Amino acid sequence: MSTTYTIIAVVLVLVIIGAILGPVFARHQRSKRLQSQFGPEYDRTVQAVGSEKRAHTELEERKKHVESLTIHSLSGGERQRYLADWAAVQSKFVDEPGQAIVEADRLIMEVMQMSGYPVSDFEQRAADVSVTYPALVSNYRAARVIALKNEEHQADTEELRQAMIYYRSLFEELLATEEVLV
Amino acid sequence: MNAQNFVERVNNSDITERTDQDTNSPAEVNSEDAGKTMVDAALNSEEPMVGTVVAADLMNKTITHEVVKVMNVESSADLLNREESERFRTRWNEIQGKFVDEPRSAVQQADALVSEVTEKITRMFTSEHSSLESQWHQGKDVSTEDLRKTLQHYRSFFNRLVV
Repeated sequence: MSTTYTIIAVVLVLVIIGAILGPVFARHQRSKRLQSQFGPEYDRTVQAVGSEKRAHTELEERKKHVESLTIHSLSGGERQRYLADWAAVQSKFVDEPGQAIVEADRLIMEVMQMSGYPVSDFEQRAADVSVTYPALVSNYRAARVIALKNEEHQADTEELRQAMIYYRSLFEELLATEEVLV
Repeated sequence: MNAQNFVERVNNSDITERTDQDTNSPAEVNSEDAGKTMVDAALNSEEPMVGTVVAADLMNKTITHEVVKVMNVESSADLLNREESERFRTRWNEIQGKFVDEPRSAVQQADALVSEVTEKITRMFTSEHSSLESQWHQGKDVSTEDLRKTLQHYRSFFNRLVV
């Protein structure tokens, strides 16, 4: 009789421990998964929204949002045209660095729209980029900071050159996409 | 091509169709032509550099360098032949395009390219001049036509250097 009680007690304790540890473990797994998917953007989001839990929700929502889109790669002709556009903008940097930055930013927006991303503000674009190109979203944000400084005429030429390179890293990826994503 | 043709060509080309989106409009952007126009403006114009770059930019890419030359009626004599000019232009475009990645090396290469062009033109003047000199020394009559051409060459170079 006492053996039965002991078994029940042990099982009960295990169930309680499981009930407590289960969600903790699940959250940990989720955190690991999101961390490995988003990289540095994960920590940035945690900082931005204030807690890991909210960051998880935010990142999951970003994923869902991008999954709901029909992202497609550009045609060969479109790619060629945009590559030529980029070369022109990059060459223009020598004469008008500030204007070249503005145009580089605009080219990225254009290519994103051509690929099926919706027209949206910068934060939404960055969020979308963070899902598809997690390694490049920090470059995109860094370029954005310089572009805003440029609007105030506060960015020096070297910063603008850096922004150009940041933008290009994303631009190249956007064009290099070879098959349907997500 | 005369000035009238130039005006017509400009009007008939895409200037009238330009919108504020033009620099981004994929169909029209051709970086090589754009660079070409700029370099041409710089090589041919007697205006200050800044002005010509803006002008070249405003005029878009369909305006080829012949057209730009028409604006500069005084420099009718070519210092370099077409292929040479093309080669130099291509190299210039490459240099300008890589500035963003390697600013220092772009400037070094620009320096080398400009030296090369200058040397080439200087050599041409030296040989032209010494051929005239030798004809004079031999007591030959140099034709006025040759002298006229030579003077045009000098003026062409002079105009590009002196604003």
